[in-house]
Amino acid sequence: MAADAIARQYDVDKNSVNLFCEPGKGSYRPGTIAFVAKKGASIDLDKIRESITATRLSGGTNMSVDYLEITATGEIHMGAKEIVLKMPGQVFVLEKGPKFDKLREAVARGDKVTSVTGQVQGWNGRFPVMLQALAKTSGQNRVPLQVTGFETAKK
Amino acid sequence: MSRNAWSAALVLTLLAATSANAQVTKGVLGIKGAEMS
Repeated sequence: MAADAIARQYDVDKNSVNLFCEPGKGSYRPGTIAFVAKKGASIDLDKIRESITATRLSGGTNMSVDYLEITATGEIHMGAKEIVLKMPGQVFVLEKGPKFDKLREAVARGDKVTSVTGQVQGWNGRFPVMLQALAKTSGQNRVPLQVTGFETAKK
Repeated sequence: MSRNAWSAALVLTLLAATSANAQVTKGVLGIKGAEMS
């Protein structure tokens, strides 16, 4: 369901969508759904939320989300109080995560950061509850992102 | 072209450049209940 909902997105390369489920017999086994944008496109997280909401995952299910981790390219701006990654119509506010301090050091010494990977705030919890909460913050143009990785241009 | 028109054109050009460069390129959704997805 969730994998199909993601694959239906215009900006997602449907051939890239890969559902992995950890082996075992128990219910509610952990897994991942990985997806990649079509060449030149940018994945719209709000559209993914809308698409998943249109499935039965918005109703009675105990399936849940642990995290949504994205990789984004863009322009990094370091201010006195925060570091942000600017996107068209949206700003990812970079927050504490495993690689946040390293990223801040890299930006401070003038390294050119080419992409940032991080977990999007709000994408966790039981599907119906999470989808309802995300709908309330839909359209918000400042989205917190906990930094888990980044890449810099080679010098 | 007036100065205002040039300015507007420049802003549009810069916005287009930003849009082309700034993208969410991939994602991973970590879930529980993957066997049912």
